[in-house]
Amino acid sequence: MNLLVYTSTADGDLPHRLGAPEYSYRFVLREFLPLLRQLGTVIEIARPELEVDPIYHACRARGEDCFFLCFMPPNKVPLGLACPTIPVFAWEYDTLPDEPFNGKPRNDWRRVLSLVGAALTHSSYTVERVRAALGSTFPVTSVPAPLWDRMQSLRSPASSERVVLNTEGLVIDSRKVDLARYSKSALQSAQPGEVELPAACTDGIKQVTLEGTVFTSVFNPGDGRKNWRLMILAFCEALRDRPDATLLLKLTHHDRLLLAPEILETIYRAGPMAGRVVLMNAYLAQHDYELLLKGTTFALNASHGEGQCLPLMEYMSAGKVAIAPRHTSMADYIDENCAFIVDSSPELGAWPHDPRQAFRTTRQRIHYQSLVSAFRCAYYVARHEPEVHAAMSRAAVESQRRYCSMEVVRSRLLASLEGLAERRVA
Amino acid sequence: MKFLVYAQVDQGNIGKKLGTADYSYFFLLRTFSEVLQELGDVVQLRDPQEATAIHAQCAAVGEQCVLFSFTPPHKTPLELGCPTIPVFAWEYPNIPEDIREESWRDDPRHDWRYVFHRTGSAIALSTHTVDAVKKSMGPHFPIAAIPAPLTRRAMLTGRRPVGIGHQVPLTLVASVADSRSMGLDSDSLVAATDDDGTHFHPDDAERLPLLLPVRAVAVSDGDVQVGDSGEEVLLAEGEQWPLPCSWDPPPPARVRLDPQGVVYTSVLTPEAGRKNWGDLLTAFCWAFRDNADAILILKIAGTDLLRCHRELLMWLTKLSPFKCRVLSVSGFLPDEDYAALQDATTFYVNTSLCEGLCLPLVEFLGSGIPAIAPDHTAMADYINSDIAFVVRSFPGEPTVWPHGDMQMDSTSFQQLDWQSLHDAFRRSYEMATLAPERYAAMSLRAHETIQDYCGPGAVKRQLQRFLELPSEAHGNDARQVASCESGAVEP
Repeated sequence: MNLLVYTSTADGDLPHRLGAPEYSYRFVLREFLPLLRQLGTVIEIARPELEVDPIYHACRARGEDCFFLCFMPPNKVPLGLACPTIPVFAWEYDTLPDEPFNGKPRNDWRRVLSLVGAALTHSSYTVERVRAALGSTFPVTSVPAPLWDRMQSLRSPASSERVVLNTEGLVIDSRKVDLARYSKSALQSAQPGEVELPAACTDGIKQVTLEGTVFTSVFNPGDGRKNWRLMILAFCEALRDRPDATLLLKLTHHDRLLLAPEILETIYRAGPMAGRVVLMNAYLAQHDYELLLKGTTFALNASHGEGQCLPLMEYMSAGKVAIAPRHTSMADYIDENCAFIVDSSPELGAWPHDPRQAFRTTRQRIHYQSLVSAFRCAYYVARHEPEVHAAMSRAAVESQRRYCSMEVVRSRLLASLEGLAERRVA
Repeated sequence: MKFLVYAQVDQGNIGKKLGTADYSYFFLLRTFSEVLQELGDVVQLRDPQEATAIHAQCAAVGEQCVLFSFTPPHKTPLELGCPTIPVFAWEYPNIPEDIREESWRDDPRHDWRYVFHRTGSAIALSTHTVDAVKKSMGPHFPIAAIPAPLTRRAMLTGRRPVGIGHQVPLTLVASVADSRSMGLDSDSLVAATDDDGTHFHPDDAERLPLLLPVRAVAVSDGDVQVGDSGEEVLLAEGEQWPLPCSWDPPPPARVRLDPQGVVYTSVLTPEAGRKNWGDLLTAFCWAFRDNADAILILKIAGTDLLRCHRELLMWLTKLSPFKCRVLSVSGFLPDEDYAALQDATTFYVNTSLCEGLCLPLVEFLGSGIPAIAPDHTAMADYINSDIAFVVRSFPGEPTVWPHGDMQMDSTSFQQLDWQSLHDAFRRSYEMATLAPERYAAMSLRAHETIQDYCGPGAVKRQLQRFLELPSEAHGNDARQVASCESGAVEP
């Protein structure tokens, strides 16, 4: 079997493309490559319109199957190729985009998907939403990014160890900044782009010590779903008098200063506290990435919707207990055995890539006090119930094994591709 | 006994003060005064300093005299030679006591404990507020929860849903924006520069399989379009249908609304963020995107009505297309117009994140109009599933003091369960259209519940208890008549 793969962000471009449109599809493709290579010959494509069909015709001439796995949202999948094209995409809202907004018929995903005739996505939630739009027999399969096996060498104990990271990039420790300089009125009276951050936060190599109970959330600050304000406010309220509690926000965006003043404003508005919030926007080397994982006690998510959530999957696969809602794709792996569940319920929202931001779908509203209470319960368990914590950690590993291990994903992906191959023969 | 009453806003300037921070205190003064008249002489003060002299005169003849200050505690006059009782509304679970706000530094009254220690007692409008005060002042502080009395006695015994299937005549003098005359088009929000790299090929429209659109607004399926029926109704002289408008609100006019269907009304000041009109608009328009006979009337007050209008336009544009109808009515409504609005209303809607009382909600309920509302903060005193579709809510989302620097969270309000609000719209619509007898029963219960809660008799008894006055004796009647005729309180 020949598998042509494509996504718009080239592998080497990733560090300065973080946060740009579709950048995260590169991370997903990276996770799939080892599995795809087990299934057939993988050829990475740079320019689909030019490269895909010649390879496809050559394969057919040899009597070999050939599929084009396009790791892109349906509206950006090249159409009109002879090669069977399978979009591999993430989606986290209850309504699939079903309007040709911006004058582009391809923004109606139903039309694109019915033309290509099959799709792969990353959760049973998204499968259900695709079938709600395209009919219950539409060939779509849930194949999460198979990262569980890779994380097993990084398995660390439930509790965190004291670690020291060295990093370039942006590092802000709320205890070392005069937060009042970032009050709402200060930000409003400043000219855009003129809010200065202390040089110690932006220049040179910074040392970050992690100890105590560390709650880590890895996210793109430009992504409105991630709900960072609520995370900060709930953390500050829940553990206001706990000097050994740390909220670590690991930001992934090529514009390192993006939202840093706004995040500091939120910490300020939460009022005085003993704990600390650390913002880090730096591309971590593998060693430091592993240290960050080791230094983490809990993996945190408070988003309005998830298509799978790679950072949460990684941390749980490595044995970190989660604080997360059980909605959208996370419903596949978050339960009370492996996570402190945050309550949520639907509210009206917009498709994230719709320039109109028109209300067309629901998303999930996170219940604030439920998040506060999850922080407190997690902190208590980490401090006082090590055996519960260890059991939850094992459950996290097991939950991710069922969700995104090679073994589980391989059989589903293979069945899906074989089904498509048979259908073409028929 | 002599009751001096004072509020910073009075009859003379109320028309201009609608929607300002303290304007509802004028309504409190007006409505409490009517009940106080039954307990003694009422004198309205323009200047609180007058209290000292009047109190001295009363003392000289052995008459009791007390000042009811219809002001928030931090605006309560304290340096008077007259016992003073602050009567105030408050919608948060704690009271200001730790002065972190720059703008509060110069006035010790911003620590409300200071005020309450000086006045020695207070009247709040809800149990929720009494609890908040006792958290700071201790469980024995003399504070009572006495709601604003509903003095206009609604003569209602079980309403029927009005307007289902026929138009309700309703004319208001106001600036009226009608979602059907605003040219709403969500595609107008796309700027020419918006391009996210989505592919486009000239053949796309032909090549891509066409499915039936899920949510295109269908051509009329027999629903009567209210806006289209204008020619069938004879407008009175000087009346007009809602004018087309877009970026700017239409000028005030005598506007014929004639809603047809299930009418939801909310009276609110959108710029008070706690009123949460985002949830109100999104849940209504989403619930009724296919129902032309669902109408939401927003009676809007505020200091920046232009901004309110533009926000409304943005919300509605992003929500369009929808078949239901949203009418925003801006301007001060005289009592008879307000009553006409009530008559046209099927359900009152409140989606606030916190309330100190919500007088409009109480008034509408009292007139037999069931509600959609959460049962949190002050509304916990009277909202229940017998009289309302109760919206789920969750306490404890942080927010700033409403009258402080707005820099730091010091209190909290509620989160609403949007889905529960959406479902309440659907269920209430079904009741109004399919089960009018259940609606009528709910209407009757709403009227009765509110009479028990804050009818003039109920409030009078609570005031007597709080002031430790002897309860009703027959001999009092003559004095009541005399004091009513004294005419000290404006109508």
